[in-house]
Amino acid sequence: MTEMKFDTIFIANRGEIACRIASTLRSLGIRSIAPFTPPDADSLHVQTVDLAVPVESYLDGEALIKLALENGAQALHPGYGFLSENATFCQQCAAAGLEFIGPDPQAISKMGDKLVAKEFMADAGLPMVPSWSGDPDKVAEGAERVGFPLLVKAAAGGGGKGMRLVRQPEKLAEAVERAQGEALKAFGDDRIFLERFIENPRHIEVQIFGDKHGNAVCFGERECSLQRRYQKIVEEAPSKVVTPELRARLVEAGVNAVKALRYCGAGTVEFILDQQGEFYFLEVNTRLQVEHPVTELVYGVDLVALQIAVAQGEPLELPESYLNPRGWSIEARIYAEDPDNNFLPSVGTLHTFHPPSGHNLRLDTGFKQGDEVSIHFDPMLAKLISYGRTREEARLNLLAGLKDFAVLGVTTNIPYLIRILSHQTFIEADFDTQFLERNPEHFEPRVDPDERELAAALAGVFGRSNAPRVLSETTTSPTSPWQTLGNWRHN
Amino acid sequence: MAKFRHIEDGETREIEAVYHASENTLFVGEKSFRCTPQFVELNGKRVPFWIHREGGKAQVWLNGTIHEFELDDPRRRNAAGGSAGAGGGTVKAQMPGKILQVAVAQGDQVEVGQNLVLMESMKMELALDATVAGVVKTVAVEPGQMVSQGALLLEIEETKA
Repeated sequence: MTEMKFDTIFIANRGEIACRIASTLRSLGIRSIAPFTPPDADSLHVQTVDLAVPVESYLDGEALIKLALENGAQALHPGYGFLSENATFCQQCAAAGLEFIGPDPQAISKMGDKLVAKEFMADAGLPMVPSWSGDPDKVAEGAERVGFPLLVKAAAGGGGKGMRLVRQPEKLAEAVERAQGEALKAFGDDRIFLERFIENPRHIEVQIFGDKHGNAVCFGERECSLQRRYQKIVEEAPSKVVTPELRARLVEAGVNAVKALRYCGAGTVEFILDQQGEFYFLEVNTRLQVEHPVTELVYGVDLVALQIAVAQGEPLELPESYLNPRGWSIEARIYAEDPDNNFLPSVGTLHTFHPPSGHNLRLDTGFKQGDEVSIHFDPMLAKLISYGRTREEARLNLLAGLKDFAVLGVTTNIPYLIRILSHQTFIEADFDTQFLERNPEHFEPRVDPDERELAAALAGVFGRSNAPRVLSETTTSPTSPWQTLGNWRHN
Repeated sequence: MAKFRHIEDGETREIEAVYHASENTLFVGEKSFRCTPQFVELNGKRVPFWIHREGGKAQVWLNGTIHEFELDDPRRRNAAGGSAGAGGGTVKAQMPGKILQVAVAQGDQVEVGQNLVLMESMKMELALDATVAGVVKTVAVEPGQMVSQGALLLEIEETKA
């Protein structure tokens, strides 16, 4: 395997992930190029990269490859979303002599088909949710093998049609009969199968990596159970419920997945974890994940730098300690949406966009003050990521950061994130994937009337135009105004 | 003590508040808060606040919560001829300071809420907005000029609706 050295990389993406990749390229001394569409002309990623080139669409693969080659790039980083999991695009890059920073097209297409992926990983020995299909007369035996509670599902099914939840063996026969009838009506096919129903599962995933020399590594877990409508909101690493013994088994499954796929580059294997500590394969994402920073912070790695090293043909050389997470990291996804109005997307101008700064706080964003938030792209404004020696330290750090993250002009979910991070269930890490949607009343707004009165007074006194701005920095004054206050009294 | 009215659940509420800049104190009704134009002390902690105002509406970011208000600022309504600001057709300096920017020129048509003059006073920027719609009759200042309190800045000939 010959090693290459890239001096220019084309980032086929926009927003926070384009900025995040550009930041690693800068630190590696590699020139960065990114495309932009007309509405993005003044966006942060355009200002962050060394060269920005106009395109009609971020999905126009041919145009992107042409621009990359014309401007001297040897490799292309797809980021996440857009063309990152498009096997055809990956092939087109290879055909054009442009190194695609990611796995090969076969791995992408195999893992892209969720059923093929399940069969493949079952053969590779990854644990699967117990299921049974076969002669309907032997369904009772099947049910015993699968275990209760279980789901009776239509083989041709989808959308919940023909699905039955069965908790006790004596209810099985009736449920099967009804499911068959419903399936026949809906799909013209009465075949059914059984699958164990995993109650209140957690979503756990591991970060996998492979190189061109056949080396496979797997970093420990990320906990991504806090979701709404299958959208992750708060992620952390490690997980409170993963013991070193369970971590070793998760990592082993991840390594097996890399080896079976002869996987190259970064990927994620997602599992569901039941209340007994058993985990089952869900799917593989063949790209860098949105939530990758929490892994970076607790394992002390730059995953983008590692992707580039692997794409250059370097062998993965990691110290033994990479298996042991150090400290804790939590990420909150800040969306332009209104948590108090059914999470409807919010659009407008970011009149105030003032992210917090602080020790052990990381901000990944593609936005800056004055930007327009439109309906055209992902409503994620930023990811705020904290680090702490303990989970509680990371939690308090993130909470403080969120309280200082001022965004005006566009409604955000920051108040909702603050409510989640302050909730006893989050403090105890005693949640599952259904927690947020099962208990919406726990996260309704609570307005402190005294604070509201103060806010009204501040608006009246200081709000004659935009936010008050002190022209000279307070640091130029000899003493802080706080210290010069003598007999100020609390009320 | 200035009175600020805002609408709360469809009802108009009135808050009496005044900021004592040299004492870094904000008085709200019977209470007082240690306060600068950027921070206010809440439960013993220094908390940043941010305000965005558009027309008669204000959004305030305070301690992780956005409060939205419809404000009714009496100084805006009946300040014509008074000491404070962009009242009526005669716009005067609220405080002594320096003119940073004149956003309109003689003959310009202006709307209510449109920014007219930006000035600097006591290390703060003050934006003076039109409280009447009309045509700019005279512009008496230019950027860089120092003005004293009450100085005439510009005059607007009000358009009668």
